[in-house]
Amino acid sequence: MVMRKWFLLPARAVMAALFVAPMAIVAAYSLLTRGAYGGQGAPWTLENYARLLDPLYAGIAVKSFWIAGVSTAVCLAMGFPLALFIARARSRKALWLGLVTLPFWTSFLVRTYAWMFLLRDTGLVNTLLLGLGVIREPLPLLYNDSAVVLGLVYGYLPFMVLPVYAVLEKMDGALLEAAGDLGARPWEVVWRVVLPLAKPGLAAGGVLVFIPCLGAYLTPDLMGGGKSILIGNVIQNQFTTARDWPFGAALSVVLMAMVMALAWVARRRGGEGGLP
Amino acid sequence: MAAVLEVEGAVKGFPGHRAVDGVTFSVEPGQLFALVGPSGCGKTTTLRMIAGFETPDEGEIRLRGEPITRLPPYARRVNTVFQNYALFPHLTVRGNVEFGLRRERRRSGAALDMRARVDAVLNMVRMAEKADRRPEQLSGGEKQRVALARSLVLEPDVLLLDEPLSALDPNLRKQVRGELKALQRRTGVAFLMVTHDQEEALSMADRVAVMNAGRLEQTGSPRELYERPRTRFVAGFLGPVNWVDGVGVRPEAVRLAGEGDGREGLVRSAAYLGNRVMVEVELNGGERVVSEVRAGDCMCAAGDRVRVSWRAADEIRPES
Repeated sequence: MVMRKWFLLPARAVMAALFVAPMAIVAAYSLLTRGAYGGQGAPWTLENYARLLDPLYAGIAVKSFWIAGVSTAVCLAMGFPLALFIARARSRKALWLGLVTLPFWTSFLVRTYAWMFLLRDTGLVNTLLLGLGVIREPLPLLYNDSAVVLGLVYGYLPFMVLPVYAVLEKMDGALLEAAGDLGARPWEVVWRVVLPLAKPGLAAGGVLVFIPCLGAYLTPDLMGGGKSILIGNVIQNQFTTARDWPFGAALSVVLMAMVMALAWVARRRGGEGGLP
Repeated sequence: MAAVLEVEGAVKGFPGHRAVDGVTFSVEPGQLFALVGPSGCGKTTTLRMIAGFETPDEGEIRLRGEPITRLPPYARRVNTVFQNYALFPHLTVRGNVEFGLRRERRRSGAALDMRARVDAVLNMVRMAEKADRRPEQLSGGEKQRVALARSLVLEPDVLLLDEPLSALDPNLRKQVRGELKALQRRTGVAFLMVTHDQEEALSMADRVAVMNAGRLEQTGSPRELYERPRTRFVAGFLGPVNWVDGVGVRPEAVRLAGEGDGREGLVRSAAYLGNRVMVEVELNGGERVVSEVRAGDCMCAAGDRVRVSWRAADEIRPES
């Protein structure tokens, strides 16, 4: 198979140009010193990494992990039953799958704004509830951590549903009958047969949801209203407002390292087919 | 003896057709009962109604006299060996066999020596050494034995087997027939087996029911059915038959002779099969008769003139 080398060449070139090279640049920037008026240059330093030890950033990291973890957990809790329902549906599978992927037809930014129109103090939900006399003051639905979790769950739920569906769709229906035949109640069938078999899909979905949630900056920025600052927002700030590219680069490198460590753990625990 | 399982007037329709159209039979304790018929005759649907995977539109199913017609599968003391065995791929052999017992332990609340029971049943099916294997590491025959163990450990009133041999290597099937029957005798559990293979049904079962187009054509001992079939379908399904003047006769009952009594005919072909020869004879009336004779008994070849006869006692006279 001498040809194989050539078939892989385009993919290798793309990976090298668009993945390895930018990472190397980010890593290099993280070791530079910030210039007086923005920009960066010599000398080489580890100062940017030392700044990360500030408890402020530890707090932001913990919060980011917390928000991403909660969002992933909610996606698991919502995505698994949905994927099971679609996989076991006798008809209209294509329709259900189409509906799951439907949000991708418009931009994420537009959809996030739509949520804001729904949730803000003068939004649809509050206006309706006020009009009906259910509440006297608008509910604080937007600009808090719950709103951020809602936005993240909304945005990444399909990434949980699709891999779990792919695993459950291949599952032999006779296994469910066999479990019932051996005395398992329906919920036990799910707990003792379906969930264990869905594990590779759940692991893949978990990684696909958790990683982008961890680095998210658009949703916390818009729906958290600046009160809910996550790692992604800090990085974005360093590159834009603060114009401290070396520090932003150092943050990015650390975030990337954590994500890779997590992916590695998920791959080992998920077993074969655990990750796409 | 009171029947352990009774199916009475069971009817099940699916959009477009009636899969089961009024089926009645009963299985005695300790019996190996075979439900046999061509594919699509409704035998598997009948089995699924007994297991609880389908609900009959009409009729009743009773287990030890108690109606179970509308109980969910988990509430029936009936277990199934599935056609593809349906072993849980995420569990070991032991885990598969324990699956139903865990439930039972919780229900009874009594401290139940699960491990001993699992070991005993694994020994019985000769799978004790492979208790820690995963299903994917087992051969077809081993998977079947695990599936049997998983069901038998629960001591069901009736064990249902859906085409238990069809997923096996053809060379293995005949051997497993004997093993399965021996297992049934040893456990004393009533087996209800569904198969499309008449030889399997005749060789294994104590009692056979032949199904066709959603109905039971005839129920009886293998010998009764083979020798005294009540319908042409049953006669033809259980083995080859020559039909001459509305009377059937099995090839092995047709005798050939050079001269003497019987009808005259011309040998059209003679196929040598080692231990026997299949001789096709055209009678003078134009009807064709196949005779199966022992290889040493027939020297005939195509073109020979022979006399064809059979004993009146070997004639099959179906009612319909």
